[in-house]
Amino acid sequence: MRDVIPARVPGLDLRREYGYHQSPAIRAGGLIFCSGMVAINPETGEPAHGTVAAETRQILTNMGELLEASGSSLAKVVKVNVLIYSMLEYENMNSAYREFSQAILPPGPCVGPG
Amino acid sequence: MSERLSRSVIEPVNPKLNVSRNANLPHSPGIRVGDYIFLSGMATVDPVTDRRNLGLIPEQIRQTLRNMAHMLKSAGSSLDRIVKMTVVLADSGDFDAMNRVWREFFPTDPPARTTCALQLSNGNGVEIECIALAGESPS
Repeated sequence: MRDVIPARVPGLDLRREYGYHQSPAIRAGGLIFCSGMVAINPETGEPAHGTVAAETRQILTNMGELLEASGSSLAKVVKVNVLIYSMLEYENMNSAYREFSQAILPPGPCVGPG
Repeated sequence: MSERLSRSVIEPVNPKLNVSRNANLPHSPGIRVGDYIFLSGMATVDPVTDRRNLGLIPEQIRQTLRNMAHMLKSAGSSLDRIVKMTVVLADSGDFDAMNRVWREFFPTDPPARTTCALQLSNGNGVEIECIALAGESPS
């Protein structure tokens, strides 16, 4: 069983908004696999560029919306990968991540160029 | 769930594509756990000569995806059973070219995907890994 999870808001549908050939998320078996997400205004699809903390908040908010669209939620996340442009921003990302930590329990590995 | 999941190694039927073994790398080409298949990151390899087939990026991507199809077939699955892919490009400028090749290989209901640009070893322009469901697709 493999189902495409459609985004409920236009900005999270990368295929429709940007022509990227990928699905927002796929449900397979008992798990949901989300595509990589960047900071996007979910209503307009415009990039929501800002500080790393602000972008982290926007991404996690969008991720929660996408998971809820598929009957799940941030509280059920099992694994998160974080890509960040510089490890100097690690604490800035983490501080925003912690605001969601009641919802997201698993720590994610973080990859950044050295 | 009290039933223990089993874990088995997946290897390609074509030994030329077994990069883990041929290059003596300490990882498995793929692992099956329950109904999920996790493949290691793959790059372009010629299935006849086992040489890296470095060339134009779209062709590197096509060859990698053909090899991925072979890996999945070796495990009784197929490209249309992929649920999530991670794509690493050596040059983020190849993003549009990658999307065009994706349309050839995943005409409908493409997998979820994460793409990033990082430095790759051995001159590779692209490395791709995936998670797929085991078993045949209902057709």
